[in-house]
This record gives sequence, structure tokens and C-alpha cells, in this order.
Amino acid sequence: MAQKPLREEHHVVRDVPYSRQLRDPETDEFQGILPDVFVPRPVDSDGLSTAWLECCTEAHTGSEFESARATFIAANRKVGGKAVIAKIQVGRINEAAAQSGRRLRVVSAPLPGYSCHASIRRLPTELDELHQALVSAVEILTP
Amino acid sequence: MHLKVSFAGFAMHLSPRRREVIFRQIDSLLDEDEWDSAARIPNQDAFRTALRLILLLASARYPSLAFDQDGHPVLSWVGDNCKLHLYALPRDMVRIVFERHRVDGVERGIVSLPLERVPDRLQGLDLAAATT
Repeated sequence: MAQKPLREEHHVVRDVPYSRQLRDPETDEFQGILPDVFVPRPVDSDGLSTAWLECCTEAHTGSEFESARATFIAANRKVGGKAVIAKIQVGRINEAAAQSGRRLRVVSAPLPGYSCHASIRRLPTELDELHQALVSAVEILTP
Repeated sequence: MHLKVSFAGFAMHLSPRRREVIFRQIDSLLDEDEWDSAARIPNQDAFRTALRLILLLASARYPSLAFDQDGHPVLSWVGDNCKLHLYALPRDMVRIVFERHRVDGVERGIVSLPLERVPDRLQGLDLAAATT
């Protein structure tokens, strides 16, 4: 399927399961997400898997959270009741990459049955300061 | 289940309150409905590193407990201007990951080192206060 770069003002989203969230140990209050949420696994040869938010909101009704969640579920991804969604603007991704001397590509990468799939290409597979900068630039969507 | 068995061996060294907090965290993290099906199962060896780290640091503030996608436990302390994460790895190795906001900008860093050197390195990086 055709792949095209996403516009700077658009966004990609990634679901963050409970096990990768920072929670207050006593109250369980949400405090953030782990700095490695944007680290692809070595097997992710096609880049870090995300969803194109503007595509999700066009395909599904409700809030950004609900649209993204519906997209992930339709793509057979498990989304737990305590999962949050990390939203990041493509321009912020490119900015963070440039600051660390890298060039990333954020592309729409539709898959069969998952037309809103997007990918962040050329991310390092070992945790480094670029991943930390990306996590700092996210907006967290909650139910 | 294996994690709880490992934890039971360490529990006697902890205060009842700390024991209860960690046990509850493990329970919540391993909830089948919430566990990320794409993540690796928790690494037993790395979990023992995390428990040794808890005993070694004896931090006044309880850390948040999480797991990375490779099943390594991560202890985190989140403050107003500083986030400190200790990734517990197999064979008593630890990765320190920090981010702090200073007047002149954001400082980030990643350091990997053996477990027993963590307290000194946190002092050297001026990060020990993040755990107190």
C-alpha cells in the first residue's frame, strides 16, 4: 500500500499500557510514561508502529482518545482499561530529531485492515536522549 | 507468580508498609487485562536486580514500578523538576536514565553500570536527592 510522509502539523499516537506508565506507588495516580516508549524493538524493521491521529478521528467518532482506542482495537491490538495514549505532533518529532543530529521519517504506512497505521522510521533501537526528548514532547490522552 | 516467589525471599528485609506497597504494585502490573501482549514476560534475573537495588538504596520515597518492553523492571522517582529511572537488568547491571529541568535548559543522561556502584554514581550526578 502507498506510503507518504505525514504533514508537520499532523499527529501520531501510540497506546501505552499500564505496565509502561509511571504511577504513584501509594495512590496509583498517573505520573507519566517510561522514557523508552518510543524505542522500537530490533524486530520492528519497518519503524516504530503508531497510528495517524487525523485518520483515526475521521474514521471513528468521539474524542481523540476514543477514536485512537477504537482504531487500535479494530486493528486487533489489546488496549487495557488503564492504558493511556501518547500523542505527538510530527513537527515536534522532526524538531527533536534535528536537535540530536538525526533525520527521522514519519509516514503513513497502511496495513491490510489497518488503514490509519503510521510509522516512525530510523529511530535508534537502543534507548538514548532522543527517545527521552520525544516522551517529553507528548500529550497524554486519557478517557 | 515467579516474581512473587522472588519477592518473598527479599520481603523479610523490608518494612511491612514497603512490602505491602511493592506487593500491590506487582499485582497491578501483572493484571492479565492490562499486560501488554506484545511485551516480553518479566525477566526473573532482572527482577532480582531490582529487589537488590531497593535494598541497597533504602530510599525514603517509594519508587514507581514499571516494566519495559523487554520485561526489565524500572524503578522511577518523579519530582517537579527531575525524573529518575533505574532500569534493572540481568546480572546485576543497572541503567540510570534521568531528565532534569534547570534554569539554563533540560539535562538528560543515560549511564549503565554495575548495581553496587549506583549509590555513588547517583551522588556524583547530584541525583541522590530525587529518591529522598
